[in-house]
Order: sequence, then structure tokens, then C-alpha cells
Amino acid sequence: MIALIVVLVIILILIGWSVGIYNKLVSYRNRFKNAFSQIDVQLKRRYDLIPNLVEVAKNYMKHERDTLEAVIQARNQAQQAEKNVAGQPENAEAMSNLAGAESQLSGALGRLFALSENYPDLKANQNMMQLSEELTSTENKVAFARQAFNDAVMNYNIYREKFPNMIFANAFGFSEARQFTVDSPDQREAPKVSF
Amino acid sequence: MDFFEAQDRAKKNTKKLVFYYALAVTGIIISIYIVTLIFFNSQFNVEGGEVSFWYPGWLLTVSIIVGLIIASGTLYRVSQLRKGGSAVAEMLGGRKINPSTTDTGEQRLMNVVEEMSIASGISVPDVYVLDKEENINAFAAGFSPNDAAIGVTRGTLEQLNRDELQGVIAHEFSHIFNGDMRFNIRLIGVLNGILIIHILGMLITRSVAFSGPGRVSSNRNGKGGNGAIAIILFGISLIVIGYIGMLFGRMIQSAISRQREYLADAAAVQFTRNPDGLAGALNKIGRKSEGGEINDGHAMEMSHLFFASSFQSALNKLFATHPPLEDRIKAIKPSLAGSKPKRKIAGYQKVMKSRTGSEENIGGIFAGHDAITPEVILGAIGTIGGKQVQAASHIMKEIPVPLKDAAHEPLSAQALMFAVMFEAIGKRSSEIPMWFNELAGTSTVTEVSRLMAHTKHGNRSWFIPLVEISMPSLKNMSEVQYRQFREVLNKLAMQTKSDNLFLFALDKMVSHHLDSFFSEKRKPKIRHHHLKTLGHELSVLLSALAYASGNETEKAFSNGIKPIDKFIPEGVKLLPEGKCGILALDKALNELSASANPVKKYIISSVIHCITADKIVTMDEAELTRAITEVLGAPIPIGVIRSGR
Repeated sequence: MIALIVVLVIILILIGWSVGIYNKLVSYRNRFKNAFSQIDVQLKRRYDLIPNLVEVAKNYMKHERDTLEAVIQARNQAQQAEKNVAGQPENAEAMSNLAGAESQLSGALGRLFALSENYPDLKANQNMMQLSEELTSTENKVAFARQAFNDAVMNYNIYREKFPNMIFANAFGFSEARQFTVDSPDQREAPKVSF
Repeated sequence: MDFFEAQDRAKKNTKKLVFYYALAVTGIIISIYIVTLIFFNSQFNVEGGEVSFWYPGWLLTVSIIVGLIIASGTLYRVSQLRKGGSAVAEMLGGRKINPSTTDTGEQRLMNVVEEMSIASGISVPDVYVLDKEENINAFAAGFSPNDAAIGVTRGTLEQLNRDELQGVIAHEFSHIFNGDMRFNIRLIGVLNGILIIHILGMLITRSVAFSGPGRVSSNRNGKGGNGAIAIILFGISLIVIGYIGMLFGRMIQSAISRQREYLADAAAVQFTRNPDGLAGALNKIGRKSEGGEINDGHAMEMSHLFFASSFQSALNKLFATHPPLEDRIKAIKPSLAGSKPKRKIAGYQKVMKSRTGSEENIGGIFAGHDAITPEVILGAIGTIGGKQVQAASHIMKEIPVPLKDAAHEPLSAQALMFAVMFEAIGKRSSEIPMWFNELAGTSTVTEVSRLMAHTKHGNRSWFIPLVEISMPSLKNMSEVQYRQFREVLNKLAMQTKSDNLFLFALDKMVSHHLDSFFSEKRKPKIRHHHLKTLGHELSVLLSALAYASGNETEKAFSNGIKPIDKFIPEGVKLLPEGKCGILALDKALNELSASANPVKKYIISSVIHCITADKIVTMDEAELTRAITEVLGAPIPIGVIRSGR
């Protein structure tokens, strides 16, 4: 009888332990999901800004239709990718699709801004100035929120990969989450100097 | 009843709970002891030998094992919820509302919560939505106002109008102020401990019944079969014992919870000055056939957390955690319930009597500065007057949209903190120091200078509210980002070297609220049970306040001493201005924060007497008081003071 109870207590402790790991995983996952909702809001805002920007640019850059269309197309693709991710930022595939689409979009926008250097009238346009200012600000916010998201994903992945946790994580269906990285040379963060 | 009494009463209730808990555990241990003996006797003592029911050794073994199991169940759940309100909200399937949300329903909810927070002098709590719940319900959870979370169901967002929503949120805020939340979390733990016996019984029954069904049936005559059946029977008795324990737990849960709901309703009416809102919300819940039912699996265990009953049971009367809706409506608005108000609820009347007396006067703070008396402010701690909510909503309307938007987004929110800091120390955007540009990073600096264009024409009375509504966004940073933010903030505070009270209040709010969020720092232990040990600290605190009050320094100081005159040690005196600077004050406040509730009450009383000595509460005083509030953990509704002069 005593042996049975001891076994039961051990089983209970094991159950409690695994439930503990499960809960911790859920809480780490919730954290990066919350962090993604922050990115999401800003991405949506950015997708709304871009058509306006292109509309203004069209009036000046009559010979750059290809570039403008590329921007719109990249924006539509990114928007679609964002929709696919929205509910489930833990989905690694959807996340890397979004990262890819976002990189495309940044590249297209970069080319557009590079070309706009040749059109002084466009650069002086009040609307254009305001829009590009707003776009930059939104992009800064996205970058900041993305850093928070990536930190949260990293914490989740580290916890997930620790020894006993990994067994439970796989059993409970907690797959590895993907960071949201956008590779674009001109989007690198300003160098930080600390004393 | 004031804020501190309410907090202490919540503690007394906790003692009551511990008593019942011990009772329930003892009952369970004895029942299990008896059950095991019955099985033991029937298994090995069939020949009709002496049946004894007294085996001290066995009783001890059972006590230890059962005690351990129940305690581990309780401790496990409490430790799981140690993170505060957000842990509870997430357990219920809540999704944190992003402060920069574009959903109109969510935006409205955020606005209502923000107004309440500003009016009451606490930082904005995290707000959660239970997306899957279609019925109208809401909850508040957490250990202290600092880590509180408020959650509402999707149904609440969609089906209530603004007034009704405000009534519901005011009800939840009163739970925060009444110290109900800490108690509620402990109650969840207790219930879970008892529940574990029930679950254990299920596990035993199932594992034996399913692992060897063949053995049980084919081996009917053998001893093994008997053993298996005995184990199943044992499991079933565990289920029954656990269930009975649960019933008792439920009864404790409902008895304590029902009272509090009336109190919270009464407070909500007082906060909003609009019984129609709350009554309307209750009415809408009543009209739905499912009432406020919550489908999540944890709903029953946490039903005492909710605004309205979250589950329905056949034994409604006995186990209802909430009073019947009709009674609640009747209590706040007799005409709406249709029938004549037969009986007034005693608790409700008491609250209204003790509160309405001061309520009219609280409004005086905004009507003109001359009406402030210390008693009024003291009475208002942990409550909200209707006029304060209006004043808060007025300030919110006055603050330019770009600043409010900035408070709702992490990158901009931290830039906003820097912007108001620069504004407070009177720096223009062209005067931002070089090191700041390098340390904070370009995107932050761009935001800072963008926001400073708006703060430049700003009113100083916006600043504290802005900091309060920025808190949820600042929590959206990662640890790395937060550390960097703090580094810049610290350096900024060090470099300016000015004894700027807003800077001090901001630093206190950020460090108290966010440091505990980003690290597992525990609250300080209570070291002071009377004022005798706090002589120097009181001198520093009151001197600093006296200098902040402007002209009549001596008078302010002696006024502050008055209410605590009998309890303080010798030598509490007005210090020269240089001896009560920010650094000294900071040290003093940290020490004062480690005092017991009754002591804090005297400190607050003294603070309030001091700042109201000249009948004028200046912005300096209001900001310093906000810092004190943050550290002592007593929400003083003083943040909405206008710097009219």
C-alpha cells in the first residue's frame, strides 16, 4: 500500500512538473504573440501608406512605371503574407514568407526612393515629404517592435530547446518559432555607441 | 471604510480562508484514513477478527501524504499565478489588447480604462480580451494595483454601450482597490489543492480500469482481481471525497465572494455617478439565457473573479459566487428592476453611507482649489469620484492626438518619456545633448524631436497622465530594449542634476512599475510597524513637500506634523533645503515603503495635511505626491489636478 502511494506521489510530481513546463511554454509563446501584434498594427499602417505614396509619385515619375508597379506588387504580396501570419506568428513557414515578402518590399521601396533623387519636383512636393516622413516613422516603429518580437522568440526557442523541456515541447506540439528578419542593406540600424 | 482598512480587511479574510482550508484538509485526511482502514480490514481481516480504527502510525502516514499532495497542488497554482493578473488572464485564454489597436471596440475599452486609471492615480493596468467568449462578463486579477490586469469578454465589447462598459470597468477597479484580487488568487490556489484529490481519484480509477480490464474480469476469483477492484473502489472514494471537499471550497468561495460583489457595485456607482450604466449592463446579462457564462475550462475555479456568475449549477443558491442579478440591479437602481425595492442590501447601504458623505466634496478639488481639505483627499484614496473621471476624460480630450498615439506604441512611448523629461527641465529640441543622440539611437531621437514639437505648447498637467497611459506600451519592449531605455533614463536624470520633481516622479513610476515587471524583484519586507523608527525619513519627506508647496514652508511642515505628532520620535524638524534633495528623498521613500499598512496610512495622512496647508496644491506637490503614491502603493486621486495658476 505504501509503495503504491509513493508511486502515486511520484507520478503526481512528474505530472505537476510536466504541466509546469507546458505552462511556461504557453507563457513564452503568448509573449511573442503579443509582441507580434505590435508589429502587425504598424505593418498594416505601412501597407495603407504605400499606395498613397505611389499615387503621388506617379504624377512626377512618368517614365518609371515599372518601378512603381513593382512597389505596388511587392506591397500586395507582403500584405497577403501578413494576413497569413496574423493569427499564428508561431507558424515558422508563414513567418519566413512574411520576412521574404517584407525584404522584397523594402528593396522595391529603396529603389523608388533612389530614383526619386532624380526628380527634385517630387522631392519638394508637400504630400510626398509628409508621406515619406510618415513611412520612415512607421518603419522605425516596425524595426523596434521587430527587435522586441525577435527577443521574445529567442527566449521561447531557448527555453524550448533545453533538455527535458524539448521532449515535452515536441509532445505538446510546440514547434520552433522563426524570427522576423528583414535583410536589406539600407535598413540597418544606426550604430550605437555607448560609454 | 478607507483604502487601508479595505486592504487590511482583505488580509483578515485571508486568515478566515486559511482556517477553512485547514478544516477542509483535516476533513479530507480523516475521510481518507477511514476509507483506507475500511479497505484494509475488508481485504485482510475478513475472518471477523478485532476491527480497530486506531493506528496512529498509519494516520500520520496518511496525513503526511495527503497534506503534501494538497499543499503541492495549492502551491503549484499560486506560484503559477505569481506573475500577477496577466498570468490569470492568459490562463483564461485572454489576449492582451495592443494599446495602439485599430479596433473601435478595443479602443473604446482602452479609453475607459485609461480614464479610470488617471482619475484614481494608478498606472494603467494590462487589458485583455477573451476572444472566444460571446457572453457579457469581465474580471480583474493581480496581487496589487501594480500588476493588475483587467479582462473582458468579446461579448462585452460588442454588446455594451460606453456607459455600461464604464460601469463594468468601475466595478473591476473597485475590486483592485479593495484588495480583493490577492485574496482571489489565494482562493484559486486553495481550490486547486482540494481539487487535486478529486483528480487523483480519477487517475487511479482510470489507470486501473483501463490498464487491466482483462485482469479484472477474467481473474474474478483470484486475489489480484479483488485487489484491482479494491483499488478502483479506493479511487472512487477519492473522487467522492475530493468532490465533497470541492463543495466546501465552493461554499467558502461563494460566501466570501457574494458580499464583495455588492460592495464593488456600490463603489462602481460612486465612481461613475451613473447607476444606469451598471444597471444596464446587469440587465443585458440577465436578458441572455446563458447569463455571463464563460466556456473556458478554468471558469468554475475562477468564477469568483468575474463580474457576473460565470457558470450555472443546479445548486445555484448555495454555490452562486454572485448575488442574483435582480437583487444587484435592485440595490443600485430600484426603479429598473420593476418591482418595489423590498429589502435594501445592508452592505450596500453601509458603503453608500460611508462614501457619499465625502463624495460631493471630492468634486471640490476641481471646482476650485479652496475646497480641498485633507479629510476629503484621505477619504478619496482608493475611490474615484464621478467628477474626477470627468476631469480625467477632459484632460484626455485636451492632450493632442499625436501625443496620445505616441503613448500607445512602444518606440514612441519611450521617446515620449524622454520628450516630457526634456520639456520638464526646460530644454528645447535643439538643446538635446550629444551623448543622448548617440546613446538612444537615431530612430528614438527622431521621435523625440517630433514629439517635442507637441509637448512644447503642452500643459504640465498632461505629463503625469501621459506617463500613466504609456505604461502598457512600455511593457511591450523586450528586456534588452528596456535595459537600454533605463540606461538612458538614468543617465538623463544624473546629468541634469536639477532637483526636478517631475523627473523624480517619472523615475519612480517607471522604476516601480516596470522594474518589477521586467525582473522578478520581490516586494520589500515590512520592517516598520510604527513611526518611531522613521524619524529622519519623515523629516526629509515633509521638508521636501514643504519646500515644494511654495510660500509658507514652515506652516506646511507643521501642518504635516499635526496628524502624527503623538507617534513620531524626537527631532523631526524642518531640514534646510539642501538636506532634502532628490537623493535624500529617494532614500527616505524606500525606507518608508517598507512599513506596515497602518503606518502608511499615517504617512499619507501627514503628506496630505502638508500639501493642503495653504489650500493650494501646486503641480510640484501633485507630482511629488504621485511619486510617493507609487512607492507607498496607495492610489491618491490627485493626478488630475490642473495647474490653473
